[in-house]
Amino acid sequence: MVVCQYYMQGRCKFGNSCRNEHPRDGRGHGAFGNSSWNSGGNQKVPVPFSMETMTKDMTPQVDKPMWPLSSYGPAKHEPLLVAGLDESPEELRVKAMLELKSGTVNEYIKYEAEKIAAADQIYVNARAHVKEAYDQASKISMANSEAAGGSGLGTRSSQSAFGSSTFGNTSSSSVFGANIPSTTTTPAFGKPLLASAFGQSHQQQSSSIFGQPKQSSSVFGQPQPPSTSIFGQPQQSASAFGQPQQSASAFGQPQQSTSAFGQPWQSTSAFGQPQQSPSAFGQPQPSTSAFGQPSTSVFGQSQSSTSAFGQPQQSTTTSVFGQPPQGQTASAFGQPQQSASAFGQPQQQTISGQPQPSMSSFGQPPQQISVFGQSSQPATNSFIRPATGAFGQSAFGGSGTSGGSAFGASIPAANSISAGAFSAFAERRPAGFGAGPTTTEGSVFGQPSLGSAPSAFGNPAPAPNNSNPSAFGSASVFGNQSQTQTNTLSPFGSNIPQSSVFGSGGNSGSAFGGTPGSNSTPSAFGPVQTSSVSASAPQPAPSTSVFGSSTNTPSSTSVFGTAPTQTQKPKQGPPDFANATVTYKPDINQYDAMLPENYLQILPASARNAFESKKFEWGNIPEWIPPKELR
Amino acid sequence: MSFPNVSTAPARKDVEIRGPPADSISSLSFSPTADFLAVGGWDNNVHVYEVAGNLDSRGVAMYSHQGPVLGVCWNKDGTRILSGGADNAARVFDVQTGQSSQVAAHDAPVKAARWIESPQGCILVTGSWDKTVKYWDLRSPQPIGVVSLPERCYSLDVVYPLMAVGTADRNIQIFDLRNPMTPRKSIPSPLRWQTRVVNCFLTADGFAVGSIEGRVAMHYISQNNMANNYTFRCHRQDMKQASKVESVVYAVNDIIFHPVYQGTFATCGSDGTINLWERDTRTRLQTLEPCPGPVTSMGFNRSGTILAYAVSYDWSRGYSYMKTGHPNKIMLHACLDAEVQRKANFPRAN
Repeated sequence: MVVCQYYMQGRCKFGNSCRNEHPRDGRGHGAFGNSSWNSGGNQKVPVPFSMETMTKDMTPQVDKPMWPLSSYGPAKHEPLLVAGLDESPEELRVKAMLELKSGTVNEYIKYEAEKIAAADQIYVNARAHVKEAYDQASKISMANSEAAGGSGLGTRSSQSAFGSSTFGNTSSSSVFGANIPSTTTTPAFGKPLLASAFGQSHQQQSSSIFGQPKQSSSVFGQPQPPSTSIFGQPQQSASAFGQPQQSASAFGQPQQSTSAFGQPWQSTSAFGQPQQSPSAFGQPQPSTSAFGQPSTSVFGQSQSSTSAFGQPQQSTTTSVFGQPPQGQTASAFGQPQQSASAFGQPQQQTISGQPQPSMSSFGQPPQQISVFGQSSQPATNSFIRPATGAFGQSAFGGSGTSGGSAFGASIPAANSISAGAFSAFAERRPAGFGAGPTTTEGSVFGQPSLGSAPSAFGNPAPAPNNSNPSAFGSASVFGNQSQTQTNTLSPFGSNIPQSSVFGSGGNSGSAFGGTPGSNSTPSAFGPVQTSSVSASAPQPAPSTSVFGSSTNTPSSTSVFGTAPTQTQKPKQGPPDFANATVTYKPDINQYDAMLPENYLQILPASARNAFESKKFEWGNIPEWIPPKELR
Repeated sequence: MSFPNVSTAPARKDVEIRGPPADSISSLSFSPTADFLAVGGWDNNVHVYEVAGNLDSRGVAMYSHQGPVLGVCWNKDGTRILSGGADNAARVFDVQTGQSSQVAAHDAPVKAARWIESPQGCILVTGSWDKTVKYWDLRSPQPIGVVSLPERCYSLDVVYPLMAVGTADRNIQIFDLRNPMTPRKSIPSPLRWQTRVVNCFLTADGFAVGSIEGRVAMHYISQNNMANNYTFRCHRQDMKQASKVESVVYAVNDIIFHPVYQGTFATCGSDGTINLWERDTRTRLQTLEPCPGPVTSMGFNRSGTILAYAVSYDWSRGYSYMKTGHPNKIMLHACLDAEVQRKANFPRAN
C-alpha cells in the first residue's frame, strides 16, 4: 500500500478509513518501494517495530533469512534481541576444512547440524512467544533510547545488547571472547535460549578467562599492572593474558610490581615466547622465557612455597588460563584458537612468582597449545593430564598446595639446576627436570598424574592444538636463562641456552606437545609419552617442543603430552602413577639431571602436593618442574 | 558496444575467465592502475589475471597462503596486493618482484585487509575473527596499533579517512582514520540480521551494509544526512508470483561502488543474481542474468567498464551443498552506460 502523505503530515482526513497506509511508526518504508509494512497492532510505545514485523522476521520464507546462524535485532539500529548466535558461513567453512584435514568431518557435520538446530529452535520459540519477545525488545529499545538520550536510532554509541563494545578496554580485545558486557540490557532471548551455546561473547560471561569472575576486563586484556602479579590477582581487570601489547602480559611483563613472575626478567614473556606469534604471553620476542631466569628466584622466596606462578598458596586456582571462556578454546595465551597457551595467564597468583616470567612462556599462542591455558577444564588439574604438559603439575600456579614454585623457583638451593621451570614441579624435590632421577616419571611437564597442577603447558586445554607449537616454543620458556643459580627457576634447568624450555632449543615444535605434526595434542606437553621429559632439558637438542613431542626428538610427542590414559579425573588424590602411561625414564633428558637432588624437597609444598595429586587443579598448576619422582 | 534496446545476446554475454581457481572464490579486486584482477579463494591461492578490453584474459601470477584466502585488495598505485587468510596472516605480494611476504599476524583468520593511503604514508589494516583490528607498517613485524572490537570482524572497508568495520552481533564500528585507535562511533547495524558486508561510499561520507536477510542499508555518518539513510530489500525470490509476502530470503554477499558514477553500486547474493542500483535516486538500474550458483564477490575495473564477479559456493547452505560439480568461475561483464548511469539524467540509448 502506498503511504498516506497526509497521515505523515498528521492531517489525514480519512483517518482509519483511509485507503492508504498509515504507518504507525511514522517512518517510511524501504526506499525501493516496499510499502507493505503492516503497522501492527496498537502500539503504545514508539518503537520502530511491532509484533507483526517481528513475527514476519522470524518466519522462514517470509522475512527470515536462509542463513540460520545469526543474531537478531528487531529493527534498524535496535539493539540485539537474540544475541550471540552469529556465525558466518566462512567461519563454518574454515572449521569444516580443518576437520576435513584432520579427518574428523563427521564432527563438523554434527556441529553444523547442532548449531542450526539450536538456532532454529530459538527462533521457533521466539515466534511462538512473540508477545514476550516484543515486550522484551521494547524494553531493551527503550532502555537504550534513554541511555542514549534520544531516539535510539542511529548514533547510539554502542548499544548493542551486549553492551557497548569494549572499547573501553585497553585495546586488545579480549581474546577469549568473554565480552565484558557493559551494562546494557541483555537480550531477551539471549541467555535463556542461547544458553550461550555459541560461546562467544555472551555477555555476562564475564568471567575472565582466567576464571576470576571479577575481572572486568577481558581475559587477555592487559592486566595493567595490577597490584599483584598478574597471576594471581583476580581482580585485575586485565585480561588473562594480557596482551602483550600491554605491559604486563601475564607472563610477560615483569614490570608489574609484583608481576606474576617475579619480574626479574623483564618482560620476557612468561613463556619465553618463542617467537611464535604473539602469543598470549605476548611477547613474541623470544625473550627469556618466563621460566628462564635463573636469577634469583622469581618468586622470591625460595623455599617458600610460593609457586612460581604466583603464590601458590592461594588457591586461587584460577587456572592460569583461566578457562577459556566457552567456546573458544581460549587458551591461556589468548589464542583464540583453541587451546590456550600454556601459560596462559596469570590467573592465579601463583604463577607469578617465578622469577622468570615463566608461565607464560608458552605463550605461544599458536594454536592451541594451551599450556596452561587449557581452557576448558575447570581448574582441575587435569591439565596435566594427559599430557598437558607444560610443566605438568603445578607448573603453573602452584596450584594451591605446596607453594608451587613456579618453575623451580623456590628451589632454594637449587643449584642452578635448570630445573627451573619444571623443577618447580618437582615439588620439593630438588630434581628439576632431570635432576634426580626420580621415580615417577612422567614427564615433567606432563605429569598427568600429578594432580592439580595444571601443567604449564599444555594443560588440558582441550585443545587441540594442532599446532602446538611448542608451548615453550622457541625461546625456551623455561629454560633459557636458566643460568646458574638455580633459583631462577628456569624451567629447564639453567643455563640452557635459550633453548626453549621445553625442550628444544629453538623453537622446535611445540613445546607442548603436539609437535607440529600432531594435531591437537592438547597438552603442552603433548602426548607425553615417552620421555618427552626431555622437554625439560633445555638443551637445544630436543628439538621440537619440549613438551610435546615435537617432531623429531626422540622423546617426541609431547613432552607433556603424555596422554596417558588418564583422562582427566577431576579429583585430586595421590598421583596415580600407575595409570600414567608415560613413564619417566631417568636420564632421558638431560634436564632432569640438572634438577637439584633434593628438588623434591625443595619444591614448595603446594607444588608438591599438586604434583602428587592426581590432577592439577585448574589454576593450581604449579609452576615448578615436576619432580622426577612424581612424574 | 551494442545498443541497449536491441537485444544482441552474444555481444552482451558475459565472458568467463580462463583458468579459474580450483576451489571457491572468496574475494576479487581489480587493480586501480592497470587491468589486472586479483582473485583469492579457498584453494589457498591468490591468482592474478590480466583482463583485456575485449574481455579476454589470462593468468599472469599467483602466490599462496597457508590457508584459504578470505580477502584481497590492491594498493593505490597498483604495485602491491594485500591478502588476508585463514592462516591467521596477511600477505603482501609485490607485483614487480613477484614475491610475497607475510606482513601481519592475528590469532584467528584475517577476514579483511585494506590499504590505508593516508597523507602520512601507507599503512595496512587487517580485521580478524580474533576481534581485533590491527594496523601495520610494512617495515615492522609488530602492529603499530591494535583496536579491539566487540566481536569478530566480518567485513571492513576503507575510503580515507573513513573506515567501517562490520562485526558479528550486528555491530558496526565507524572510524575516523585520523584518530585510528578509537572508533568514532559504534552503532548497531541498520539491518536486523548478521552483517555480511560493509562498503564505504567513495566520497567517504557513509557506507553501505549488506546482510544475510536480503537487505541493504545506506548509511551516512553525518547527523545532517541522517534523513538520507534508508534500507531496501533485494535478493529475495518470490514464491508466489503476485505476493510479496512469501519469499526466500538470500544473503547479500557483496556490495561495490562504481568508480566513476559514484552513486551507482552493485549487489550480489546467494541467489546468484547481480543487481545494479543507484543510491541517490533509489532506483534499480539493471539486473544481470542469473548465475548458476551464488555470487560471492565482485569488482569493477578502474574505469568501471568491466564488472567481474565470481560464481562459486558460498557455504550458504552448509556443508552438504558443497558438491564437486558446483560451478566455480569468474565472469566478466562489459558494462553499458545505461546500466551504470542514472536513468533520470541520461537517455536510454547509450
